[in-house]
Amino acid sequence: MELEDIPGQLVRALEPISRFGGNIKSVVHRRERKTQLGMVPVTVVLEVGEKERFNRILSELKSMGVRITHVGEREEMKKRVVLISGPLTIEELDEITKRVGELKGTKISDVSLAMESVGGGMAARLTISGRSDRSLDSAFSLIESIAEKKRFLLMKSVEEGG
Amino acid sequence: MKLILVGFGNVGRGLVRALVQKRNFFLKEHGMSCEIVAVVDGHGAVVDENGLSFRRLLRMVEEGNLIGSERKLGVEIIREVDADVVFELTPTNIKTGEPGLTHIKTAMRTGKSVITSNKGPLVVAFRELEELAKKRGVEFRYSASVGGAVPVIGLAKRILMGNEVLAIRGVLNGTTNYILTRMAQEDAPFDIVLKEAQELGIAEKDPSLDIQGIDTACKITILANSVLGIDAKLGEVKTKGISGVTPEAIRLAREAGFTVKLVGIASKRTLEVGPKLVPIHHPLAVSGTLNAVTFEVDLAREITISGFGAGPRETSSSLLGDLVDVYQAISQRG
Repeated sequence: MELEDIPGQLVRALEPISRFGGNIKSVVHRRERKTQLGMVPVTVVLEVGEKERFNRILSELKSMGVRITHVGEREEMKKRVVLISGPLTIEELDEITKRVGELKGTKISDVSLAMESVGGGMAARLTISGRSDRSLDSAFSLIESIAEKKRFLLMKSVEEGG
Repeated sequence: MKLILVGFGNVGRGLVRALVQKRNFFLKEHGMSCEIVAVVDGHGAVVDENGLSFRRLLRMVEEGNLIGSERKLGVEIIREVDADVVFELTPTNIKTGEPGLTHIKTAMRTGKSVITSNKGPLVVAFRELEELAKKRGVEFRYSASVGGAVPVIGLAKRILMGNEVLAIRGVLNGTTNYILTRMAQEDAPFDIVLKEAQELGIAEKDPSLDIQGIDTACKITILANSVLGIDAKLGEVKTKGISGVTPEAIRLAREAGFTVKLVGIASKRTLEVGPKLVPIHHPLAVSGTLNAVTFEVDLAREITISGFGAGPRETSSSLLGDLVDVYQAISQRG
């Protein structure tokens, strides 16, 4: 955002963020880099639980006349690694990836494969990304039920569950 | 303290050797003197109510059998011979718990305290034995049944007494840990490494209890009962072994910063055993035949201990720790 270089402007601009439950992670106020119109560029990094709150903060700021020049968004994704091995085919792996992708808020974000030298099976390392632990849990349960049905060996991290 | 030893295999012989070697230490440090008044195995028994001589005991250890034994059963000796403590060290039978179960019950019913390394009776009748010991006013210890030399139960039940234990995660089987470690080091398949372990005497001729995860499941059952106070049965532990683990899977795990271990987990929510991904720098990532256990507790958060999970000398560490403990408990009672 760009703020006028007069006292109180920064505090005024930050106020709606906390009012709508946003968590301010950092504020960079660069007076040495004033724009040609004499405005001070300010970068605010904040965290909100839901997108809706973020939109409310934005519209509040706009209605206050704060000039917002750029909005960058990064959805924070949690990750979990699982390994499956056994008589697994590419088609079955594809199916797993598809079905996890169909769940709300989860996807398989990384896949590594190794063909087994003995037995002709395959090992796959999957990284599940999800918006919350809950969505990761449901993705894991889905993979677990597929693994059980098809008799794949499924391994997850010892730090999860239990 | 008058002691009866039932079972004269590796563990029994290791215990006799350590007891004889360290008799002065126990007298000096703990004021405890011990005589072994009877040793019984599957073939017979040697008895001397005044204590078997150390020379004879050591000779029996060297020769691996009982010299000059009479044909008597463990139950008879336990019933007839006067003693303070019975060491029950016979082989584990996870289905019936026998003959250990009968030995332990007979000992308790005749007013003798019991120390055991035998998982069978604990898995089959944990509650019953704890209650019987209480009813008969005798001591009952089983530190050596989980973790070999690693003081898993003592740490949880004594030293961490101010904490509530929320979960226990452990690498509790040296054989499978050795196999998984070698598979990772050599990029070798399970079958070949298993053969190597059998040649080295690390894996038994019939390794199924170890590799199917059943041995670990027994230990999880014992820990759930003794530490978490859950009335858990072996059949309730969801158990998977390591025979399906491949070197390729281990390599993929390593590339993501994990190693593969056979881990047993006990908590109020889950009882399970299976191959798990353990972060390489996690304290449970011990290699070779080592055991390690992490306790998740309410105050101290996480405590991990590791050490040797098997071996006659190592196991005698836990058995003798229990003996001093029983001695102190009996002395306090006066």
